Amino acid sequence: MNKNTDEHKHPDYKKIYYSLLILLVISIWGPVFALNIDNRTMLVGTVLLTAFGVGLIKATMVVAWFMHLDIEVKVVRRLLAVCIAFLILLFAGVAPEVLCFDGENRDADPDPIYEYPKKDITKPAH
Amino acid sequence: MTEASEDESQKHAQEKQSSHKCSKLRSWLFSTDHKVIAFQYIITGMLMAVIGGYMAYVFRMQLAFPGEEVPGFGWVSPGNYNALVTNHGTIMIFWVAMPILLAGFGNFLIPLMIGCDDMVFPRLNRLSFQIFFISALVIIASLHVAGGGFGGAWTAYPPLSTNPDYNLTPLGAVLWVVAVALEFVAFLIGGINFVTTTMNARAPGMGMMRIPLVVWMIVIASILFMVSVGPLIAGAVMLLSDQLAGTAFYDPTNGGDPLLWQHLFWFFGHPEVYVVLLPAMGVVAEIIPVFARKKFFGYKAALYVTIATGVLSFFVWAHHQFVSGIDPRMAHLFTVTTLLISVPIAELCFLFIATLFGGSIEFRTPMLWAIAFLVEFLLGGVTGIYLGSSGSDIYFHDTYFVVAHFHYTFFPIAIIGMFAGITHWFPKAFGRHLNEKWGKIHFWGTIIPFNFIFIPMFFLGLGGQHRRIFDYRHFPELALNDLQDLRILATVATCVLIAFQIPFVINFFRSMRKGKEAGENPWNATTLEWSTSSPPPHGNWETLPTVHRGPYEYGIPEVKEDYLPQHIETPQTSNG
Amino acid sequence: MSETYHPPLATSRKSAGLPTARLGTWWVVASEVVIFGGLVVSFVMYRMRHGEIWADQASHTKLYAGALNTFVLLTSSYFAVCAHKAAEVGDGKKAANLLVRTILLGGVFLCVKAYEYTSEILAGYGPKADLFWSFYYTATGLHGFHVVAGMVIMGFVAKDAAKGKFLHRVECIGIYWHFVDIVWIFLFPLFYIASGL
Ligand code: HEM
Ligand SMILES: [Cu+2]
Repeated sequence: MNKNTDEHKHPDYKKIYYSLLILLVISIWGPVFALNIDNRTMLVGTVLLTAFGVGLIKATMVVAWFMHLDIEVKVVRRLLAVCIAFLILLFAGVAPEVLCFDGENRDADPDPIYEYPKKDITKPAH
Repeated sequence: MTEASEDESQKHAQEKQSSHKCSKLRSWLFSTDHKVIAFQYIITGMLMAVIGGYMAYVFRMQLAFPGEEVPGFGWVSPGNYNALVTNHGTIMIFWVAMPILLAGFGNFLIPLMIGCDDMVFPRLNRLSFQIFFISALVIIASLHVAGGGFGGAWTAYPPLSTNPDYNLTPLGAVLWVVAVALEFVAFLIGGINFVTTTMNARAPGMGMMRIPLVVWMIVIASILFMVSVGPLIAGAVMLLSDQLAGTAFYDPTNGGDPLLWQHLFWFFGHPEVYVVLLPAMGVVAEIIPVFARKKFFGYKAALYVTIATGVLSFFVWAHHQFVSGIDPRMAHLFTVTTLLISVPIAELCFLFIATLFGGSIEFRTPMLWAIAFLVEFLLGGVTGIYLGSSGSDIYFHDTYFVVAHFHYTFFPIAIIGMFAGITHWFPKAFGRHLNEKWGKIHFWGTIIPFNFIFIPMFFLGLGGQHRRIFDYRHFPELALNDLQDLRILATVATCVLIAFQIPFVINFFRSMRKGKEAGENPWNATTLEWSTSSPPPHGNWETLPTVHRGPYEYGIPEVKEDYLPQHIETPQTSNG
Repeated sequence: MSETYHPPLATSRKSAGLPTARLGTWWVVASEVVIFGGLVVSFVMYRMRHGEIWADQASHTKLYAGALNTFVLLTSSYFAVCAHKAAEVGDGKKAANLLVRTILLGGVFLCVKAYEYTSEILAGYGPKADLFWSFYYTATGLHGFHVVAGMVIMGFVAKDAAKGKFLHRVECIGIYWHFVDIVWIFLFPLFYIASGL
């Protein structure tokens, strides 16, 4: 082992590259093809699967074999996992707020669960 | 610095000589030595603290004596007031606490404590300081542009921060965002350096469980910063484009959402308070064993608890938004997590107290600061519980109760922690002792007025006094005399506190040249930085040390002295 | 100054088990992951919220240009990893040559991007046309900025590599470049091909 580089076996990069290209074609063709599907759920499913599912596979391939994460020391994998975990947390915490764009709690006509009691609060209770 | 250069190896001596040709000042300014950079960070931070303190003085005077001219500033307009408060907060957090605690102490301590000759990327380190320095210049410049400095609070909520029609500071607001973004970049670079150095450049024998706690805490803080700041950088880009290009990321009338910024800000903002807390905790964790002559109680527990705090700190951010119209069910969730996070923090405080328990405590100045940190921070943490409960926070939010709460956390961190660290490592950095008597005068002159500033604020907040109001005479129920008396008390205490910083400055610069010689290890401490000369030479050691044991071996009965440094191989036993 | 600069001993230590330069690169990547992640998370939230309106906007992005650019970046990544392979066996010349090809492909990417920007703006889809387009320009702009930065750094690395110096840097800049590629792999479906939703 040398001081600055540690050598390792190289996978067949050409093969990986060609498979990436095939996946690219799938991810373009899939969503375009999906436009002909009548069933809305099927359509969404196909688009998600071909656009983002295949994208995820492509990304994994690049990370694992081009960036050599498959043979990298564990701590690097963990640190990337932590970053992604916190991004998911960010989404989980923020999306419920930002997605309720009618202003569920800021609306003039709030969701019934949160409606204020209709009784006259200016008068004492007893 | 003069003695040390003789000990340097040939290579470094040559390096020195070639840089001597271009003046000493220049080689100091562009040095890549981690100690020099640490010093630059700390000095810049302290100068910014002077600016931030001056701002506090001006707006406190305005609150105590509204409508009168403030000596040294003049008449305060509402716009001035907003800009002063906003930039006071921003400067104190981003340009005082961060550079001193994280970057300053981190730079000075990490290589010395883990036993290597410098940061792993010294030139990146330099770049980080330079970007930081530019960001400091930008924030100062933002106060002097047309329209004045930004006045929309350090949280910069849109639309106040994005729309010049509302904030009236078209340039100040933009420069504020630019300055903060630059500062983030600087600390990202710095943080990467800290983490990489600690992971990869530890001395032989320095296993994970032998790293001094302060290094652990600085590293964890750097990681927290790095992970939390990313979304905010993206958010700042969006904010900037809303300001400059008129896009609508945060504009609800065109499809955006101002709540998004609040979330991005606090997703960073709450971990950020732990980013500055942890280094200060670390400094205290180093000082207490030294002056109690006792092994740190529960090293591993402290470490795990710190990690737990770090992780939990990502789950509490929306407690700042209880009254922003978030879903009440969310508020419940965040109440629970917020109350949970006080558990590990309390645990850490208990570990400190347990370390003190039964020790032979010596009240030198650093120890006084460390204990004061525990006492004062406790109050800050306890009042956080009231704010963390969404029910009571509806009343407390945006009152002076909150102001008092976070000053009881931030002041111990940024000011007490800083003085603890500076008094503790001054002998290492300059080879001389600070004056003990003046140190104690400065200590009491800081701690007593501090409590007189902020305890009244708890009562003002309970009395309903809201934050960010320029002149309380406009509000009949807040213009009462008993509230005004409390305001005047806080202002007088502010002036006293500021006046008592003068002894420190004099003491600092006098002792640098005329203080008592300290020698290698004045406190009889065990960590690696005390095993080299004071001040350490360029390259830190002639031969880099090897580590043989954990960092806190104090009060050991078997050895002649009561402590066993990390780098000594065979202990000298007293009974053969 | 760089003439007299000697890296400290600390840089050559390896207590975490991997070379310092690579470890540092991974940290850079990690911090970039959260920056782009924050932007993408914000976008996805708005995208879900504005469902059909934005789907309509997204159908105006140029699918073929985006696809071409994905192809260009994937190819450049392939060259970058081949450069790393060459550098590892000490063939600096070949590594430099491959890096130069990577840089050229980065240039192609930017040209396509520039064409896209101009034609979109001319068609009336400027940054202020709709929030979707604000995101489009912010995200692709930030990404483009990273491409430019990568090209510049790669230029320096290639110059040294041609002389056989600092060959370990080839791998580090490669990791960074692959990361930029991966960001694009995600931006591409987000902005170009998920218009059916
Ligand atoms: C130990 C447990 C802590 C709890 C439970 C807690 C809780 C809270 C809550 C709920 C608020 C929001 C109050 C409001 O705006 O209505 C708040 C504000 C604040 N806290 Fe804490 N906190 C804690 C520790 C800390 C620490 C360690 C720091 C600083 C290092 C800190 C700094 C702040 C700051 C700066 C604010 C005000 C933000 C603003 O400008 O609105 N807190 N805290
Ligand atoms: Cu908080």
